[in-house]
Amino acid sequence: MLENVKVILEAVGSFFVLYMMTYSTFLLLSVVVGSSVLYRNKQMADLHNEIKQDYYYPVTIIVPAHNEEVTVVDTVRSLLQLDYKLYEIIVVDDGSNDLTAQKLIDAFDLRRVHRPLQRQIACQPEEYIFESQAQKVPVVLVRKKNGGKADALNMGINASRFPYFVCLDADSMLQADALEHIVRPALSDENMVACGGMVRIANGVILENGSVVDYHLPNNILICMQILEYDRSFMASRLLLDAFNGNLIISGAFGLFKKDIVIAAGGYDSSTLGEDMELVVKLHVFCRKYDIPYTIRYAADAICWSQAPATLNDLRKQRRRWHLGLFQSMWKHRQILLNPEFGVLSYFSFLYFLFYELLSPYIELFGLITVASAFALNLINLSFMIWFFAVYAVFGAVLTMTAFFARIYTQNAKLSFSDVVKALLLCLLENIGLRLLIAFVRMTAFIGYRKNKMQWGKITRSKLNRI
Amino acid sequence: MRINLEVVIFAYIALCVCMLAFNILLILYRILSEYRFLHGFRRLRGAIQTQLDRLRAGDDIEEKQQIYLRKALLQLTNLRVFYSYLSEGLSLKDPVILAYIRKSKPVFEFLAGRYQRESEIKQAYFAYLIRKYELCSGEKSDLLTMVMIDFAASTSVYCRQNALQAIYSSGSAAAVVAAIRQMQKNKIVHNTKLIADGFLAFAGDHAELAGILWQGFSGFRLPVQLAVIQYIRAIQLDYRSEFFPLLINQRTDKEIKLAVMRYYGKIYYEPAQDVLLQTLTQFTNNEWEYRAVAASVLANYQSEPVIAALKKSLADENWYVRYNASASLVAMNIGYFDLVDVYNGRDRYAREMLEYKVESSRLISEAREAVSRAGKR
Repeated sequence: MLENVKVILEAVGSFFVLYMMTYSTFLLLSVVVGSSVLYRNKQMADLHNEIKQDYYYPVTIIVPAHNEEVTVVDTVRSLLQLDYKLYEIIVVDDGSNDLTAQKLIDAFDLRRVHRPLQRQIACQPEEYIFESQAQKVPVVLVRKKNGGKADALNMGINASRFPYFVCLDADSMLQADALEHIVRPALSDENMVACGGMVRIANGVILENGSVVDYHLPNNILICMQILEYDRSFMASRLLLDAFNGNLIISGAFGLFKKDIVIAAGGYDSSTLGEDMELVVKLHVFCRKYDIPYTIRYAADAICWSQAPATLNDLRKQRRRWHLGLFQSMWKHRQILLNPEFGVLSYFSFLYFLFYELLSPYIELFGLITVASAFALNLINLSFMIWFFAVYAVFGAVLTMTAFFARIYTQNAKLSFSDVVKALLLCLLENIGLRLLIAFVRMTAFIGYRKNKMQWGKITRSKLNRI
Repeated sequence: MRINLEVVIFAYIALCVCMLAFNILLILYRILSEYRFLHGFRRLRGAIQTQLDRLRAGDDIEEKQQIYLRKALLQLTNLRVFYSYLSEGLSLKDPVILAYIRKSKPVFEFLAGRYQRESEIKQAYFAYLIRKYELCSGEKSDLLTMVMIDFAASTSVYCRQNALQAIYSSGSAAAVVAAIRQMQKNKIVHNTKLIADGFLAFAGDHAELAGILWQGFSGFRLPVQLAVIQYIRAIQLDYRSEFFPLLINQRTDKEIKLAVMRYYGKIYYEPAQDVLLQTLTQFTNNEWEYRAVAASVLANYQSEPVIAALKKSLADENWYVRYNASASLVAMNIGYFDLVDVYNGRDRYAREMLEYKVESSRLISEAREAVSRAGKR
């Protein structure tokens, strides 16, 4: 009996070693490729390898908002400061219960118009539309019946007048050159149907006229760890996947899309929580199905500053929403899995998201149970196990550090000595603390799924740091 | 196969050490290179300054310093220092700096041969400098122009764009067309908007450039042809009779025809009116893009049949046709009484669209008035 258990535990142990090695190798690849892309981008910018125009393509910025009275005016003000000539701003108020719409009407002297909208994508009906032509660019407010974020974005697409649109969260701010940077790839790559921007955490940053004037790591340790996590897990992995057109996610906080192709693909799916990921996966499927040459790009120099959850409860809500969205998107497009038609997208990106994002909390839980069982049966080499996990944790921390400093260096951000020390210490803590916490949140994400699956999933907002 | 875990662990420890070393070295390299860029390169800066001082004193530049520059600027970092040192004076159009750059042209001609063998990133930077320094003469025998024409067919979009801009700054229409032909020969497709915007930045005679581009029009590929039409429309040259066959020929490419229609929206041409009207009224729903553009450009052809057709189009099945027709009617300043049948009619689509365009136009006028009042104050 004990022999059988021993064999099973050994097999499970080998699986986990392989699982962790694969993940470490993916992380290593991400950080190495991501860092080298960032260094190359910096070299190219220093050597004026960039498309610099007076006029780029006209773009509609769609800001879906639900109960965003605290930040929405600041967001629109920051959008009016962009270094870009041809754009319009459309705020879609998705049936807010607060003063979101009124604050906008007052702040920008919006006037009611009777604008007929072209319903190219189904969405909840509008209640009223306000416009202003008195700002630098047209500002439009569409107030509609509540239907969720995806529904609000679809309304924004219907109201949009330009061939490209950007989706932007109402609590986010764009750097002054962000729109220019996210549009540039469309000029160098005519097949580009979508481009993700780099979402960075706004807490601790002070912006003046769309430029960073002060950058420091915030005092809140939870936010600091998210900053490190963003650099390692999101930025680096997206740069790696971008190398072979394999990105499955463009953050809903900031992304550019070619409107006609999004409309042809059916727009955002209002029935999913992860409408941002679902749209990108859908674009992959749609373009391959109809043999449309396409690329989905990632512009690391197009920077959007977004607020991170500052409390454990808000973080839990956010990650739960992300995990459910991931599940819904992957389930809906499960035909990609191990499908040769999708090539690397299927065998690399999709498998990575399946095993190391969607299923990872359960696999890790199974691993912990196995370790506990082996320990109880005295079948484990404790010192070896401690060594193994220590090396794994240090390895992760070193990669985080590399990604963080690569980003800091290539974006010319200046850090104080205390921030450098803080970052070094938190790299380790993030890897063993935040990661486990998030794993737990993901594991429990499906509790209450049916009841809450269509809610906006709000987190507490605070005023953005602008001068 | 059994995995030797100790080996794996040691391999990962080694990787950690390598990454840490990489981070530390990189930080040190950054500090060092920044320091060198700001405070180093004294000899190079000194050499440049000596020559600038000589020019200010009315002397000519020294040959031996130019020979030194040739060697020094082969290094990319030195080239960057050179550019950085002169950039402020260049942006202020300091005549001494401009004269020094002109006199340094032989140095750049020497460098051009070397940079042709470098990576595309470096070639793009070299092209950028040639453009900034306006060193291309555009003449057939000019070495830098030849090199830029060569770079214009690079596979790097940045190198192409910088090289093209260097050629546009030469003011030579022949050089521009030679660059376009070189791109086509190498089967390089450059973005239509970049080409059209580039033509607009041309430093020479636009009529000459347009003429030479039109001569070669049929030999160009679609993106260039579109760029040529967009360019001629933007500078509003009279190509009405030249473009007309493209408008009436049924075999003309759709994008070309739409571009030509837009041209006639900006430049009035009486014979085009009937064709545009026919397009609006007789094309099928599947050809809605033609009809939508026709509805928009007919704003430039105010006449009874046009107004009647636009009013009818307010109730068109296609949203864009309705939208553009209402915009055209508003742009024509058609009075309320001429549109009363639409306002009082049963067609809600037509009424709403027209009302919205009137509201929108009023908001724009109010905004303009507010700006002008603020300006007067």
